[in-house]
Amino acid sequence: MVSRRKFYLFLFVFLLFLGIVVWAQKNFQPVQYNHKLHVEDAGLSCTDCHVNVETHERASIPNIAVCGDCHDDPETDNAEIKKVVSYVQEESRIPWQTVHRVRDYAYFSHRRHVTLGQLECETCHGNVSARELPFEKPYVEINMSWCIDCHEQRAVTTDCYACHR
Amino acid sequence: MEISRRDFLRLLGVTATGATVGALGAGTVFSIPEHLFQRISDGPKIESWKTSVCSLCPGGCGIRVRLIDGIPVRITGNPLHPINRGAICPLAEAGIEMLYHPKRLKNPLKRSGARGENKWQEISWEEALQTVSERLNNLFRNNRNNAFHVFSQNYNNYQNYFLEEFMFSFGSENHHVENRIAQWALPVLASQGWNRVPAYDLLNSDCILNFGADVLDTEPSPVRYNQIYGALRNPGNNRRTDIIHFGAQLSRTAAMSSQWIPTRPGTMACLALSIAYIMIRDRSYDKGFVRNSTFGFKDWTDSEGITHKGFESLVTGNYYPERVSKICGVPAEKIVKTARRFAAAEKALAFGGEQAVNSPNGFYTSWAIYCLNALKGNLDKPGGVLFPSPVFEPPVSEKSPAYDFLKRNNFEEIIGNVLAKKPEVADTILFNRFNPVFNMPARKNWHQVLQNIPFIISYTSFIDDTSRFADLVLPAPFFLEDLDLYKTVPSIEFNHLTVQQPVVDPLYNTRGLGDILILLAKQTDLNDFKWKSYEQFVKSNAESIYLSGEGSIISESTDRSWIEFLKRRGWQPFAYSTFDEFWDVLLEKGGWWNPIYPDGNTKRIFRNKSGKFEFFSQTLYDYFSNDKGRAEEEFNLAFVPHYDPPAFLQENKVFPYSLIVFPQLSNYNGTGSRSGLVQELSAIYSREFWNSWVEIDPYTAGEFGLNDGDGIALISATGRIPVRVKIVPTLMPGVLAMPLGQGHEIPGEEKIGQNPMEIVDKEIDSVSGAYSLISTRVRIEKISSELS
Amino acid sequence: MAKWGMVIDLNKCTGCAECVAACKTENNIAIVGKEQSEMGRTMLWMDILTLYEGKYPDVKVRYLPRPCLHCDNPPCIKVCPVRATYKNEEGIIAQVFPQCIGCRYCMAACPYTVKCFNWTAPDWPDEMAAALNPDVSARPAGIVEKCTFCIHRLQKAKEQAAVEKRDIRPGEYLPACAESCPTRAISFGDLDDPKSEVSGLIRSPRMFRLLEEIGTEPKVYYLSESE
Repeated sequence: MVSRRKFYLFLFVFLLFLGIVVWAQKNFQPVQYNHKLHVEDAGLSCTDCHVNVETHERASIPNIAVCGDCHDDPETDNAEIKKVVSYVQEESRIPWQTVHRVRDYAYFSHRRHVTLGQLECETCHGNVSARELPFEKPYVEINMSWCIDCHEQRAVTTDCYACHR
Repeated sequence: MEISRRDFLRLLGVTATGATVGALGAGTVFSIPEHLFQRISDGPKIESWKTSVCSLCPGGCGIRVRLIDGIPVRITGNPLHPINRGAICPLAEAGIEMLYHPKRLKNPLKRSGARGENKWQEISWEEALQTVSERLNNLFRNNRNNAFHVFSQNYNNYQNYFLEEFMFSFGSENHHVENRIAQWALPVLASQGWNRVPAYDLLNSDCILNFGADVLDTEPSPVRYNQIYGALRNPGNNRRTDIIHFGAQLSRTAAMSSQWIPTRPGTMACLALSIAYIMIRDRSYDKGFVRNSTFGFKDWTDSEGITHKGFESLVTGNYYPERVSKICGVPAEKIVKTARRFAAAEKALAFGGEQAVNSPNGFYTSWAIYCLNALKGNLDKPGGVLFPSPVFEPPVSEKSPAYDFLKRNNFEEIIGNVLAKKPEVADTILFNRFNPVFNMPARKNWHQVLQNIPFIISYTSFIDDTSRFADLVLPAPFFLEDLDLYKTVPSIEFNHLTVQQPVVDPLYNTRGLGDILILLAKQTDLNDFKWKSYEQFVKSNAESIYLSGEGSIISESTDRSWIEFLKRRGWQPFAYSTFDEFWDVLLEKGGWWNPIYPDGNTKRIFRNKSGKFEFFSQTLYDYFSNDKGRAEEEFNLAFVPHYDPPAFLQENKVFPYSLIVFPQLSNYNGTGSRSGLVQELSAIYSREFWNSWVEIDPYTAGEFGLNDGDGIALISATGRIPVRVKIVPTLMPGVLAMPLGQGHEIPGEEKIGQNPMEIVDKEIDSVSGAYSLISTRVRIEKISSELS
Repeated sequence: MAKWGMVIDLNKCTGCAECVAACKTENNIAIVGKEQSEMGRTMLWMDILTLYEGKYPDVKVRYLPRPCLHCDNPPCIKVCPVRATYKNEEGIIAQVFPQCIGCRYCMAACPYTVKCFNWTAPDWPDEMAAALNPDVSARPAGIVEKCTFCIHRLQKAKEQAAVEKRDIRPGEYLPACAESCPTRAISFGDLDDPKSEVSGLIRSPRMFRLLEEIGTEPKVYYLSESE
């Protein structure tokens, strides 16, 4: 008897835990952003929102200044758009969580890879245009061997001081 | 140069202390605070730059601040700025650390403990200003306007002018501006009636006599003087300038000179006059200039028929090298050689600074040195002394008592009156970013003075040695958060103006001084104080420059010759259609300058009665004519440069050694002490990081059996401090030298190093009121403990 | 391929220590505090050596700025067991921080004592965390660090030049010390380019290098003071 009661207790705790995980994942990003919708329906390209991708180190994650260009009308049925509009109207930053992160001892520059190296976004970020939910984890685990493999394939320098700092 | 591996280890301090392993918690290995990893996770990381001016010392360097996503991360020099040409100093680098310093004041504070206890209660600005205006209104009603005193440090900024206007409206004459280089201006005032620090054209000179001016480390503008000395030492310019440095210590400035001549402290006037003696004896002075443009060189008779001795007979009668040699400790042949080198040089100049003129006979020393320039006939000439006309200072600068050099340093009088318990003298004092308890001698006196003052307000960014005695502390924004203008730095040969632009919004609940004064004026009904905002005041001053059409905003394409070329043809380098356009470009570039020197009119530099260079100062004579007792007593000497043997040079069995204190570039006035960067860098020459040290010559060290790092107690008539020893061959035997800037004493904070001002004797120059830095006599006791 | 080198003209150097300060702020070098500092653990990638010559009164003081000398024949790289320090194609002696295991062999091998060990984790006030230079990593406790010739500036300069399809211009890549020296005593550039400023300067008769006799071939040259 005791063991059965214990089992239910465990099950309860386990389900609670699972629930929290699912809830947390759903709420990992502040807004359930839909890339696919923006690319296919609105006809935007990556650089329309990630404005610095060809010219700077960081691609820049768009925030209220960019989103607010279109989303300024609170009259909508979509709960996610409502969230965005309220951020815009309150002039508070959308607290996006950065997912693709390079350690500070490596110099990673989007310009170097996109403009000079002519890489497609998909190479590192996967098929973003088809995503209907925002990123919760990186498309690939970013580590040095992954960088080096690609550098060797494309005969780019593998000198440590090309990136380390 | 011979350097061995052993030298490297010794210099690194490894052999002295031994890098020991252990005492390391395992937790600290391979751990780095998470927030440092996280710090760059957000934001697009966009770089931008903003110009401003560094106000950690009065040097006036233009800066460019690097911002990442609007956050200041580094201060660099503004390459366009004519003062520093893109360079800055270690103290400016520490500006970032101090901007974010955890001890910054975040709100107005009201004293909650006993005075000096450093216990506070945070209050609102409304309450703070209400308290101040109530006190001011009270003084106003009782006609005690003069019982409100303000003490300001002089950083060449316009906020002091604004404060001056406020005081004028309020009706108090007691705005006291500390001026640490008044001694540079006074001889010019005495001889020429010119009320400004003159400029020295070092770059075009062939022979420079520097009497104890450590210009590479302190006022007037250290970065600029570092650049000038660097350029003078570079043989690339075909000729090598002889820089001869006199002083008791081989300071960094002396080390950069061609020759260091060790000279006993307090005797520089004697030495300068001895050089004059040789020039007069050799008849190698500028005879034309002396005959036509000077007064009081030969003996003369005044309107009452009294005969006065001239400069010539005073000098030839007293300052022969053999006698002077015994006084100054400089061999007679060196004096003769130096004098002849100076006289023979095509362009030569002489100037004096801290280690010569901050002495009980400082004014006459400074004057004696200045007179060498007149003998050389180099006034208003390239390679000599220049007199740029002051322009674009607000009208208040003319009528203000605080800008009268002869009245300026009357701290002593005030202190005396307060100590004599005359409550009508001072009721309320505002310390405007000024820290006399730390920076001035006789600290015990200051403690007493502050106890006797009914109400003390301090306007500061950090609690310091003075503000801890305050009743009310108003938090000041850091200079990177505040708007201001910086005027021409004294001793610089061109006029300029730099904008202190706020590069970041105030991090805390601080307010600019200008805006505080405007609110106070409202609350005290000062109707003639017309300003609406401090920005308006700043812009109106900038506008007067715009309207004049003179000079040019600093930019890539405007060097001096180009502007002069255009000016000769009646053109202007730039034209702006509106003031707003001018102002935007001014903010972007950082400043304005007018490199054109107003030459061709030598008359304009003599603004006194005789219209000549006066070896006998009629300006001084008129000034002190009411003071008859003094005038008769010292009649023959008080109005001519002379050497007055200071009392501290007498044989002293109890205190056999002389102590001089010296400034350090990286910690001007102690402003940098709170920065870890400054602490781990300013002792780079002595390796006593996070500490103070006293420099001592090997002979004296030998007498006491001292080694580097040993502890001694320095004992003077006013106090005693324990300090570590650094043995150096760069001092006159019998002279000890200690750096300024350490040893802040604030309850609840660790004291780092020692402040030599604790034991510096309170000796004042009777003419200028400047306090002495070289006249302290000390004795030494070897100690083993009580040193951290 | 460039070969980067530095020339320090002691005639122009006034010993003001701005290079030290610039280096410390640019590279986020840790402030170790009073206690650590007294144990000789003050971290200075760029140091100033003060040397006294002669006896009073004929005494001279020399100030000698000393970064990592980036030797062409560096003793430090031979002892590194993990290749955390090595010489790259452009002659810069690299110190790869995440690779370093903190054995400190290289510190012992370096005849110029240019390397520092992180005895403790770096500690800045929280307020300052956002204000460190984001171009340079903060080093954790337990690793060795040293002057990198401000490699992060070279990485950026190269990228900029590549975008503009040209070579790096002279003066475009300068370490922080050379950039901020008030008297321009520190020159920096490509030693392999015969037209560069540094190539001209090292032909000066005043040129010398530190501990020349041990054959480390430093790429930091000094110009001695003319008497």
